[in-house]
Amino acid sequence: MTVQQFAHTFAAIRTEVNRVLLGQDELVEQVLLAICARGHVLIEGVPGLGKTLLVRTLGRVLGCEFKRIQFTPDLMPSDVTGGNVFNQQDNAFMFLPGPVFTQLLLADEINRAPAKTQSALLEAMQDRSVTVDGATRPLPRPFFTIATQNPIESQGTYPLPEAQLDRFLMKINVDHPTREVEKALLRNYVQGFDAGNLDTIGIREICTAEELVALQAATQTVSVDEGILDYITEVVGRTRAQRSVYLGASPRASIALLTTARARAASESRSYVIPDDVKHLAPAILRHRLVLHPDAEIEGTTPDDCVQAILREAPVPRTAA
Amino acid sequence: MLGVSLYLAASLLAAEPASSAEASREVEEVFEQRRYYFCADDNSFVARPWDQRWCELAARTDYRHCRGFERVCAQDTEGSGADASGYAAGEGTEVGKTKPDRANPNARREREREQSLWELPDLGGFAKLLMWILLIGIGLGAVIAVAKNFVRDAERDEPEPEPEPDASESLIAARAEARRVVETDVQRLLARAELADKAGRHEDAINDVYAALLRRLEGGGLISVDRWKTNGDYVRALTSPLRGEVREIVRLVEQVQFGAASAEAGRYQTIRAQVVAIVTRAALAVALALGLGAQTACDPDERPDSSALAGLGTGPSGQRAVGELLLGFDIEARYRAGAIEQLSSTHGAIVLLAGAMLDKEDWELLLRWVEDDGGMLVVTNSLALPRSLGIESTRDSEQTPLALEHDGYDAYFDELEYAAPLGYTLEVRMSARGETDELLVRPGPDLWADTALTQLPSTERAPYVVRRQLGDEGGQVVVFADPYMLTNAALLVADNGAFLVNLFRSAEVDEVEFVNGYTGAGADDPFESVRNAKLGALFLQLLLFLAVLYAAVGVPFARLRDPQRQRRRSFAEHVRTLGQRYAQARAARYVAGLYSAWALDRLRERLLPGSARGLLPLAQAIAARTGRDEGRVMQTLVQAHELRETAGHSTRGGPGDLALMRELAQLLDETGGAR
Repeated sequence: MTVQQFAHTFAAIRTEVNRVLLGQDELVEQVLLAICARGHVLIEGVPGLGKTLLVRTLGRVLGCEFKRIQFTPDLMPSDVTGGNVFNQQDNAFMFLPGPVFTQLLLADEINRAPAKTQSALLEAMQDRSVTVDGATRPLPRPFFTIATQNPIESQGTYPLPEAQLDRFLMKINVDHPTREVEKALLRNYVQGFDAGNLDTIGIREICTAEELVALQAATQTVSVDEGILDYITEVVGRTRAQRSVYLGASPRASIALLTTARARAASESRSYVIPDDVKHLAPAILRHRLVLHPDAEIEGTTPDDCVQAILREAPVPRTAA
Repeated sequence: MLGVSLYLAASLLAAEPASSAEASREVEEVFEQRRYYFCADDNSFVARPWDQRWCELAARTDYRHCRGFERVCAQDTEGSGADASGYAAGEGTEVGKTKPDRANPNARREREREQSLWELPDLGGFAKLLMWILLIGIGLGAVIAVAKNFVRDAERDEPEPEPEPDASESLIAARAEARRVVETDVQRLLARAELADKAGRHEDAINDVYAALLRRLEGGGLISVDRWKTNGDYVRALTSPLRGEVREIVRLVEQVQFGAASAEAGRYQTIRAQVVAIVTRAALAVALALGLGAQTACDPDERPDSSALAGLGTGPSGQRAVGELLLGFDIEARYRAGAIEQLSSTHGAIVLLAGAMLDKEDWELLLRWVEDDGGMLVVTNSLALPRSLGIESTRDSEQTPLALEHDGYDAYFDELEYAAPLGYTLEVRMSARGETDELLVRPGPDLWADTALTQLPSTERAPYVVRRQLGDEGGQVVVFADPYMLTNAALLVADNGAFLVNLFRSAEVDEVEFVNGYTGAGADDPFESVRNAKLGALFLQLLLFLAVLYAAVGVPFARLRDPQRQRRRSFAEHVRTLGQRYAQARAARYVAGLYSAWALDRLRERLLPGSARGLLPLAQAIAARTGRDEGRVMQTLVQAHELRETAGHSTRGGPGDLALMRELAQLLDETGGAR
């Protein structure tokens, strides 16, 4: 698949999803880029902003098998991964797969479950396999997780551990829509749109799971200049030297920036990465990987502030300035 | 035969005489401009007596070219007390406006000079002594303070040690820092790109031409170029349609910079063509904007180059219309601002208007210029002529408007009609300086058959304008009996305009400078300007103020400094603030008690873990670990224990509490750290 074909398919998918999710172009684009870069996405926002609807729509448009886990405080790890159950007929244990065995997994309100249950997804997200009772079982391809979480200030939530957060390629913040978008959304409902039944607006399947894998492979053809590698290491490296940051981004963040930048380049029909790709994606990829000093948090500094400060300092390669 | 040939050649080379019709047309165009307010139909121009002397003659021409002059003539005059001879070329004023005193600039300057003299009261001997002592004291004080500051600043300005370079500085930052000296001039960048292209360094050429584009956009205030900005940032900062064009260029450049496209001459030429199109269009837009601005800012009726005549008047007795008329016939007319002493040896004409102030040296200079350089001097104020010229003016007995005629044959002046209002004529005596030619005499034949203009016997015809040839270089002095022929109003009557044009054309003059009372009044240098404006004292005060400010503040005053960095509060500052809040609440004893309890617990955890025994084993353990005296350690522990027990009952602390806390902190530090 060429980058031109990639860009064409990417645009078609985005257009179809945007028919359902109004006014969230940036969110849709970044989620699709993460999927094309074979990454997982954490979407944070207050309830009612269409996070779940987005994932359901994606499952339909991408032609992937879709399952949803509603994380609750009493959810157990085996409820996610599945477990061995004794079969009396065969007089043997048989493995009963959990909902994680799917292509598109929606981990809804992931921070409502305790860390033990959240960690059940670690292996699935990193290695795309599940180990139960010593037996490792691969997950279907493609596999990606889209988790939603309420802001940490909400009642009854558990913060995700750093190791878990680092597995997510991106963390995307969703904000309230504008008045115009909200009005358009209401108009859709007046005309018969039903979020529970996507058939009401005739959502089409744009590509199959196999084609999605081909899309992911096509990003590998995008070339990366040495200056871009310098720029990525510069940006990520500066997160470790930032005064407000207690724990900076890991090399996994550098890899995430690289792969997502290649996907973005392909989505714009380019066979090469430019600094703008890195700069555009850096906030979503870095914000959940930074742990701030307590005094910085007391002063109201956010990870986004730190990332923006870094981007305002890191020199861009081959600049004319 | 040779003489005839020379005459013919001279005739061919000389400028053609202006016809009556040509001059009339040009005069009409000149007076259509709004600046000649007295010609406007609805004007409220208040005429002076010398303005109204043209009224009778203008009425006979039915106020051609200047309908508004009829309205002026119908009004009462202002300032009737002025000299009826009219040797002041006043401009007249609009109703309600103040007229500047231009009648006698010399007298005005004298008055100003007298008014500006400082008149100090007689202070008496003691008061003067006191004043001088005070002034000298202040001066000495300022000098000493300044000297002290110099010494202080010299000590303070010792170079600070350069900070060590940060080892964590990355490679890309170091490379970028090494390239900090960047070219920002658009033209030089384009030239550098061309050189790089010719040298086969096409990638450098593309980078330079793209940098030129960015610098041009920055120069236009559309973007700001920074090291941390991407090309996308620049594109997003632009608006359509420029955004689309720049995006296309950026795409081509990035294909070379980050993509697999090779930097070749063809691609460079493509990029350069697009960049140059934008760069030149931006420059053109700026030029157009400036041009339009200038056009809209200026008077639409402005004729070319007439701004050089701004020093001349636009009323009936002014001379600006005369200058503009000459401009219309390709004679470079301008007002002379520089002094006569700075006269250059140009082959032009100088017109001395009424009010021009010349001393003997000036006259000598001018006449020498006429004789040696072949210049043309036109004098309209015959009252001040040097006697050596042999021409004097006398008052004519007639005070009515009279026609003039040309005396003798001259292709430039024949077949034209002339008229002037009043009564001065010239008396020409024999002189060693050249021959005299009477250009116009008065009175001439009656121009208007139905009127009763005075006809004088031919024996009483006296010259009104004479010309005297001086020197071998063709120089000449033209003297008018009075200033009226060289005024704006004169152009309204008969063929006076054509006469003036032909006067200069006959002498083949292509540059005319008008000299009036303000010529040479400007300053030659800034110091003279300050002196003339009487701002010397003010400047001295300012300098004194700066010296005092310098003495008070020192060299740092007005020195450029880096902006002060906003420093974030450190954690220690938070703790210090918390401590201050406790101090304000008078809770020092309470805090000491809390710290004692915490320190005892930490010591027990470290040295006697799991043991709840008393203070003695703990003191023994501490003494064994630190080598301190057991008794002293026990005493410290007992005090800490007591403080813990009593902290809740008393809040007032003392110096001993702080000493005890420091002692406990020392024990903690020696037994495994302060925490």
